[in-house]
Amino acid sequence: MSAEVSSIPANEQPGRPDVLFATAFVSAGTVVALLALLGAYMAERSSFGADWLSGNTIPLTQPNMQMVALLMSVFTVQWAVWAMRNNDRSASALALGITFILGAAFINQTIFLFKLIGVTEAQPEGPLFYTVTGSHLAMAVLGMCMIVLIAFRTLAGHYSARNTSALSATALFWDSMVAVYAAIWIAVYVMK
Amino acid sequence: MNPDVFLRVPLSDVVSSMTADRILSYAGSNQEGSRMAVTETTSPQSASDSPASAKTSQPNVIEQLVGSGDHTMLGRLFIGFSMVFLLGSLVGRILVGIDTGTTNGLLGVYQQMVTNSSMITLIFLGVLPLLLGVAMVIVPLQIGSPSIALPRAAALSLWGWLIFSTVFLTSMILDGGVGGADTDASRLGNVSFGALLLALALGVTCVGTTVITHRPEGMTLARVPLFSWSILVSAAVWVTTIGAAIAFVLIGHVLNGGAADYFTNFATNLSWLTRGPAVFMLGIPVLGIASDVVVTATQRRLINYQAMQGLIAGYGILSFGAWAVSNSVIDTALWFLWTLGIAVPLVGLLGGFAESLRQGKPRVNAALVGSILSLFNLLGAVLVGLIMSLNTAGEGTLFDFGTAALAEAQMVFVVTAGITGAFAGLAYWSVKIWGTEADDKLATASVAMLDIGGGLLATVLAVAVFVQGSGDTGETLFGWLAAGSALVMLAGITGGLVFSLGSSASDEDEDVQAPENPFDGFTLEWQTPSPAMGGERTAEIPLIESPYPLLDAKEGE
Repeated sequence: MSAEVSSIPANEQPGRPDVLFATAFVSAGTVVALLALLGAYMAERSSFGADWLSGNTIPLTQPNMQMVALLMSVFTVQWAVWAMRNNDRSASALALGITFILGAAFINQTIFLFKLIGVTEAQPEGPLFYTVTGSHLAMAVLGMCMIVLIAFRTLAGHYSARNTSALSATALFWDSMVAVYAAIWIAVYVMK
Repeated sequence: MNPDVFLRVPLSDVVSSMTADRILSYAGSNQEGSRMAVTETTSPQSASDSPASAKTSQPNVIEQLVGSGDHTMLGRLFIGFSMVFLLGSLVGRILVGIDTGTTNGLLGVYQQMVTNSSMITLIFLGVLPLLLGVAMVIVPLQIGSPSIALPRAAALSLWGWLIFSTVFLTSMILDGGVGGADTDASRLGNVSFGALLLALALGVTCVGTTVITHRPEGMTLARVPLFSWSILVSAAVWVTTIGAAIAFVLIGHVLNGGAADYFTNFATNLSWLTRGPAVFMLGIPVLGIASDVVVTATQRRLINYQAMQGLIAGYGILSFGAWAVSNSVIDTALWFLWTLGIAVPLVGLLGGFAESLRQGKPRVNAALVGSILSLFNLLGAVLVGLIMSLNTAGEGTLFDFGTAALAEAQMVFVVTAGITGAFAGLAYWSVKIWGTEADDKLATASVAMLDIGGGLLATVLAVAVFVQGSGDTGETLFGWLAAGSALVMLAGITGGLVFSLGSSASDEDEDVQAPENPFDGFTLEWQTPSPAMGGERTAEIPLIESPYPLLDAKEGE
């Protein structure tokens, strides 16, 4: 090996946060995974014909309200990022709290909807229906876990106007989750 | 014990049997980069570890193995294990050939399982992690970063991949894997396949993020070296492709049927991973390796650098294959357009390289030979795709058989390109990865054998489809020919393993000083010690005004 080895530091790097871009990759992978599931669901429904979920009633009230709740959460999660960029920690924490509540409302509504529709595992539609909606539910729960973590760290003073990358990453993942729900809302609930 | 100490000692020292004193010299130095590699902290910490304290807290080999976040070590482990898995996969392919040659006289009821599982292991236990390993070692060095982004995640990726690959192989032994007859073992194979895909996605996320976030001042994306650029494109394509694949693995698991149902799920929902467009994603890093090798061999800048970047990106976009899940897509106009489309960036890149080689009086070595051969293999795969699409052009009446059967030949061409390209990279960056220059004759022979074997195997598989489709069987002959071709490939991979181990083992001689830049390379990885270690450089990063900062510095002198 070369004789003159030293640990010369690299040039100062412009602030490009690892966590934000890594989350972008993860979000992209997750979105494609859920869209692939949705594609498989639609293909199966198409081959099944008119009998698909014919024994169940899918109401639109709950899915619509879920969509509205998630759309509102897109604004609140961006509010959290914007507030932190303005060094307003308390507003950021408040926004994260509201986002969490909206997420919890979404989950509550989803479980209620599942009971209302009453699709069973024994039905041929059951496994795919729950795989698509359940995977999205898992994504929403993961997003809420991120929000709780970030909220605690925000309250503890980990972030500032110059350090919002983790908040932005959480917002990016949350927005991806909402975008996926929009596709599920149309493909599963509206188009039935 | 200071935990930082063992986390900072690279495995390369262990692998190459270096002396304890030498290890201490690295552990004792203030390595901001290595510290970052492990802790991700940005605040530098003074080197308080005296040699004496380091000596008392010297970790054992296992601690170094498991505890390190050094990207060079993680990459080396990826390379080493994937080469072993490649050998195993090819042994499986040889067995399949012999079985066909003896009319199912060897594998019996296991024929389906070995055939399908060896395809999966070839790609996801072999080629893809091999390329990922090369990227993990080289990309941070090439962009002047002291560490990989999210090093703990990179370490998790390696160990996760290794553990779940082992579980997948275990499921194969239990008659599961892909296409096995045992339900529980098939379920195990399905789950472990999904988990190892997840681990690979995590690893490539780390490397891709490194390219975006760890570039030094002046290195815009338009100035990123082409191998690193190709890895960024790969990261985007691999992560999304793997995302789609995991969705279908999940479906297979949720449907929760018998062993036959798992195989049906693979055949209908996951076999797209082993044919175009998705399988072409293995070729993306190969394009980057070839670009860097050609530039160094000709000692000339590539003309139209941004156009080259665009061609690699275009190839990457066209190799995204989750839209072509159903085999029926082969008989559509979209497939025909895709096969024409993916030929364009390949031909464009080959044209650019040919022009550089024509003008530059290249130094021919294993890296250059391997790079060019790998591109021709990719062209072979495109040609097979075009033949497949002819049926559509002939309104489905041209052939008497479904052209989907040609997909295996296409896969073998791309896999051969991937391994050959990776070996070209291993020969090119041998001093950085293993510590000494690769034996050029052995490396050249390895890539040549690999290429000949892979090309023959793909050709045999393609010809067999035509012959058997027209009524003649000739199954025995084609089986033996396929086994022979795979054996030649196996010999090539063994050669690659030998030249890699040879490059590493010869470092035991302390008097041998590996050159820092044996090929007069122009990118930043050539400013690091040989073998490379996370966070160590031998010179300050120069002002970056082009993709070739070392050439700029040389011309400025």
